[in-house]
Amino acid sequence: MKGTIVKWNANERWTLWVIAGLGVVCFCFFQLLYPYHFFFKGQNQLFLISWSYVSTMFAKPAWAACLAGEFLTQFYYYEFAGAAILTASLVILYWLAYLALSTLKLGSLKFGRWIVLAVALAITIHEASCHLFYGYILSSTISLIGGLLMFLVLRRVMGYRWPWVLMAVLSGTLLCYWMFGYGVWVFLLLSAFVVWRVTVPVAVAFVCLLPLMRSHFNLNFSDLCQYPGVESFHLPDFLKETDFHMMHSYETGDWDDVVETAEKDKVLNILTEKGSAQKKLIQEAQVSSTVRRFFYNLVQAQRGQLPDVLMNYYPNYLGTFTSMIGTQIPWMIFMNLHEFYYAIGDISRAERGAFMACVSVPTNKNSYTVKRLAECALIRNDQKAAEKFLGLLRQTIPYKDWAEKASCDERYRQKAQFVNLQDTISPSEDSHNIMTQLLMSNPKNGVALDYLLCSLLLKKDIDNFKANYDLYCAAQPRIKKLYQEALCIWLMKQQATEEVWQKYIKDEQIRRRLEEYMTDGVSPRFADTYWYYFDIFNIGGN
Amino acid sequence: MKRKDILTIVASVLLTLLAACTPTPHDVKQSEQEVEIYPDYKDVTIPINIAPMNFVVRDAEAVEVKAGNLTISNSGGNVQFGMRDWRRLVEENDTIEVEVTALKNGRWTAYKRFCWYVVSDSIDSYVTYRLIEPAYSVWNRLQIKQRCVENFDEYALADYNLQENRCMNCHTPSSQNPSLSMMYVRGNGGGAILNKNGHLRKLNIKTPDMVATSTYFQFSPSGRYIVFSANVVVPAVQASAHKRLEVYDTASDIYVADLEKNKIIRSQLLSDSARLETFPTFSPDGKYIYYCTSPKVELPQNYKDLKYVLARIPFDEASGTIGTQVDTLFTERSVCHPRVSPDGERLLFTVQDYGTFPIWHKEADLWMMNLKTCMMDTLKIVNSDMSDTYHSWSSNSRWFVFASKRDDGLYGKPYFCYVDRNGKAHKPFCLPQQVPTFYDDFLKSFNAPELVRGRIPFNAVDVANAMKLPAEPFE
Repeated sequence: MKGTIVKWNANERWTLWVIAGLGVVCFCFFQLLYPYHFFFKGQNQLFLISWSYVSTMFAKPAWAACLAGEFLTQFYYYEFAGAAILTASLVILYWLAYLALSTLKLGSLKFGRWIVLAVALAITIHEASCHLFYGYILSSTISLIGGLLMFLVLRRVMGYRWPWVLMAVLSGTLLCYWMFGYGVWVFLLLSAFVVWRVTVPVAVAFVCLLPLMRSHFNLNFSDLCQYPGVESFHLPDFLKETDFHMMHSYETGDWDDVVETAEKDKVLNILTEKGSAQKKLIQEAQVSSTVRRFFYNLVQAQRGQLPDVLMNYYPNYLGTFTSMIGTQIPWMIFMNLHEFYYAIGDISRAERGAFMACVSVPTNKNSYTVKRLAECALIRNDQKAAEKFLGLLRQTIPYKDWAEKASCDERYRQKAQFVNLQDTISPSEDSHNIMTQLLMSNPKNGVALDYLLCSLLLKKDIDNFKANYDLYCAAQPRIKKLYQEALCIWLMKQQATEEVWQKYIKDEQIRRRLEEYMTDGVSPRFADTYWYYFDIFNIGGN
Repeated sequence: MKRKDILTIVASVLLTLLAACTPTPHDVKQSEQEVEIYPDYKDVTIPINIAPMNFVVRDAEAVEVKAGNLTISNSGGNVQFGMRDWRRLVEENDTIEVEVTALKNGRWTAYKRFCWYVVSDSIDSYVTYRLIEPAYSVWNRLQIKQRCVENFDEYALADYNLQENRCMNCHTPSSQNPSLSMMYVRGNGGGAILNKNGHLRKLNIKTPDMVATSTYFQFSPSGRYIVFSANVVVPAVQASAHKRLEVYDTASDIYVADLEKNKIIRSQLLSDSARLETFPTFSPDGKYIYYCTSPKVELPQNYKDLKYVLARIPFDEASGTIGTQVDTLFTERSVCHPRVSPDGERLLFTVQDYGTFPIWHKEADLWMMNLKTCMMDTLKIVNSDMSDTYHSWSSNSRWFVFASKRDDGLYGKPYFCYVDRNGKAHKPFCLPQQVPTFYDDFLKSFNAPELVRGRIPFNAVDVANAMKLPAEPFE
């Protein structure tokens, strides 16, 4: 066996070139075209450098694969690390698959070496395609690597007399399953090619005995066979990648990039063209655009520019018309709704949203939402709860530094000035009520004010808009083109006197444009105005 | 040389090497300060059969602990007792004096000693609980487990993997008897899973006239009946940043189910449309049903007016009939979860300012009523500034377990409290774990802990199989 491999390596240098090529292609693809998937995957776990955490992995099969997979996945947080780790894993997978297949006497066939190369490449490409799916974990690839490794380690013994072979296959099967979960099937398949007389009975016995492990591992038969998880072939999902891109930029505070990405984004811009109603149907098919609008608006609101951009997209999405946080809303919004509540200052709901997002990921642990939980506790000055979450984050590599400094961060004390102080309850996510309460607690909460007014304008609830405008902008008028245009509608409806017009409409150009609009009628050249939106579009489900 | 001898030598060498790596105290500064340990096991009363009380000295670089005549040294702050040493320690001592000497910032300090008071009144050997995130209304990956409190063994009674990730509710035994218990598996095709000597039945206790499916229940002493409340439960978010969730019932009634005849026993007094009735439980002699009741108020506006009083109504187990006279026992504060001790002497319940969901009420405390003298004990030594609730008695009435959020206000943990023969409650202690920092890293609440005399004779696979059965209807 060994001689064959050495001979191949010596004579067929191109094998190394294939590996090098594979590595370069993988790294370039994942780093240049797919980097934000890594960031998302890296967040959907909370790997703790602690024995009590590591020991939990022994409760399920594939502890070694999960341990290595989760340990490496935490580095996905860092730029380049995700693509580098995955590329290394895929190259190792390819190399081990190549070595393992090379021992199966395929090399002696006419096109043996090509078959070996093609099969190893097919396995690697399939595995790479699985990683295009945001839910696929590195531990699964390591399970495959483990299965191949186990076969290569025990391959030599398989040439001995049958008691040794039986011992090797039996111990290899049990060890492989315990350490690498579904990688055991790779081990058994390869072993069957070498010593089928021994492997087949062992495999049959193993499959028959597997259901007995249900109560030990608390997994159903299907999960027992597939742990830590298998996936089918996937094509790249660049829509999701852009969603994750915006999510990443928002979370890391690169808000310029959120705006830039949204403004360059074809999905948003092709579909919206300043109010072109004919694009509506296409747009509705794009759930991604909802997520992007949500983040775009979130950034603009915190910059005080939400009224300036509200009419940029139709139908727009503010996240304020959610009746109840729950699984009925788009998953990406569900995962990020805590961002909205955090931005407006509703800390109870931000904490609740973070808990629910944390619970909704496959391991029930999401490092970013644990960070958010710590932030919520710091804002409400709840030292005990803050210490719980900061203590966890101190045991991670990516968030350790943040956790060490967070309790001294002045921003949380500042944010505490905007929290809801009202002592009431609400069985639904009545956002109007939430934002009204936030404004009652602190009338300077400009984010809540803009979300309140913009939500009412999206609903075309002009009377309520005017009432709230009067309530919160009387002392300090908020002169924004959108609000001025909306006020015009109310003033026209009321047939207000010139004196009242003067009181509300401070921008003369608005009045001139209104006259033009009234003369010319509904025309696309007014697509940037609230009047156009008010007259043309029906209210969608925001 | 025999193999055993070789192993002994190897083990000795390894232990010597390990001991050589552990710093030993020198230039020790004596301090009158109390040592900061977690969990707080200082001056607690413990049962003779409890698992080793492992703890951690925070921020310690090394520790030396003398407990009785046992000495443990360790680099790092973890103090973990070997099972044999621990057993010997608790069996040979009534009072164990513990001296902690810790190395912090390069300096050894011997702290003020504390004691463990060992009592011969054993605690029931198992506790069951549900593990759930304090995630309000969305749940995922639930488990119901049983844990042996004499060691660290833990087994699943129901597991999300085998239940298609359904919601599952609290497992409750009959009079701490592992052979008779029940739990709910919710969702499509769900039902109440009744365990009788390990044989599982699936029951559909809900009848069309009930406002909702059964929620809180308890067995009668004979095990033939369960008394349960059917509650329409509404979760609502608190606006205030300093509060979290409020859960209230818009309707709730109490019924008794005859598990032999699959029949529901009703009473107008327990399903009054103008009132909310909940948290029913039988007295240990089966002659009364204790429960909580409040007049209905306009919700959610007047949620703070939901004040539940403690009441009881007679019940005759022989004929299966509910009495006609309701006695009101306690009206001072809003009451939840009444539980009578198995000897019938004490009634333990949760009090809070208002409402029916104490796990999110910081002011929720346990109070204990002496049923002979009607004297009330506010259990100051037991309660904390966070929620202390959902309690269950040990079969000998000397212990109870309850869920407390005292550590962080979010995650409930099981605490055990000793009640001596004079009815005096002692300082409670948290369920010991093998790795003392376990709770630091754990992101689930121990929900609805219940003490059981022995190991429950079924597992998560049995529950998964029982779920395939058709549910037995009730009339």
